Amino acid sequence: MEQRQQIIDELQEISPFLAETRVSSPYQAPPGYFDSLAVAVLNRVTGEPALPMPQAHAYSVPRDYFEGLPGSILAKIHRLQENSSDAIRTELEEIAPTLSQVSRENVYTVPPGYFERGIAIPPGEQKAKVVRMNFAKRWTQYVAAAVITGILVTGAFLYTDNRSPVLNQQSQVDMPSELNKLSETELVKYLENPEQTIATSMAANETPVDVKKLSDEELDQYLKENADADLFIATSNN
Amino acid sequence: MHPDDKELLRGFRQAATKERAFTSILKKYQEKLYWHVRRMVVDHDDANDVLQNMFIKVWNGLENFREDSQLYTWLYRVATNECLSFLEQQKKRGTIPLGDVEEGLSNSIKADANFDASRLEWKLQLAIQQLPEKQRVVFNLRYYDELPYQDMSRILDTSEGALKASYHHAAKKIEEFLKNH
Repeated sequence: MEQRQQIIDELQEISPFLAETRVSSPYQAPPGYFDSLAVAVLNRVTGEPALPMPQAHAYSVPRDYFEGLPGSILAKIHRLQENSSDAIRTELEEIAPTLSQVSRENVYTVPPGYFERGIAIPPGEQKAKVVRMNFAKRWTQYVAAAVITGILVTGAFLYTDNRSPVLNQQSQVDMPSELNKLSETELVKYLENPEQTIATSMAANETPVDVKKLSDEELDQYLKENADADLFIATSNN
Repeated sequence: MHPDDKELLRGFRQAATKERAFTSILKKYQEKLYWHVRRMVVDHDDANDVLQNMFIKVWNGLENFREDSQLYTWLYRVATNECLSFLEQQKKRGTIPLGDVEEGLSNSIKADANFDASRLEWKLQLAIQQLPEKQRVVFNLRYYDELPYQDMSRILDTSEGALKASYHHAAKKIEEFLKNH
């Protein structure tokens, strides 16, 4: 009642005209109105929070509409469920006719009372503790990743372009100007006997080894390691 | 006398008593929800469709209903959403010209077999249909169903302050309509 009075007072404040109209409106109670009012009163008596009764309204419903409504809604629900399973059955019949003949009865069993007990997690298999990485550890990993990336990039660079600057410099020697520096005598000598000229030049570049300064152990070691060379010397001497 | 909501919900969650409990819930709330829906969509056949669809959704969703709110506020919420969806679908299907929903509903009122233009309650219905949909719901819940703002807030997921303001605007507009027609 308090709630209703509150609503009337509120409407009086907003629109006195509407509040007055409401009070004096000649509504007719719809069929069954008093039956439902009795139910609402009984609900209040038993302590259940009851909804206030609706205002009278101008609309009407077909006779016995509410009596048949639960049955028609349940019938519709059943029809929907049947249609849904029919569609699944028809689909399977089209896809795999043999499979559709197989019984869908569940062959698996669960221990008695399994669902009533619920799924218990053993103490040892409780949820694992999530440990967050600290900032320093994460930072170290970033640095390590950067270093490895650097090594890989450098390696790839050296592998694809492994010619050193010195070699590049040698390959860029200006041959015509170098030849111009040679005297005519040297050029004639090279043309007359090119092999001997190269051998002489190589011998000039070799560092002479003073055998006399080597110890006996060093000589023995050299002969053991270079048995073929020894053989070659012997053959050439013959 | 209707059984207690908690008892009905317990019954609904057991396979053996599910249908019986659902029937009891339906019988308990069908009239209130019917009138709530009917005032929104006007035509009885439309109201019947909306109500049936709404109860089918209740059947499918009631097992997941958490009892932190009252059953009837949840039912009103489902019914209201179903009404608004129905009206939205009508707009999209072109049943009612776009932006002309209010006129379409007014025509439905005038087409009712019992319509009497001289009677104030029919004028009031015409006035209510001039309101925007959400304002119409607020006015109906307060004026006809006499729901407290607290419950309306749960049903419409709107603050009580906003609902009070909405009801205030709605009442003013209706008063204006009734004075001019």
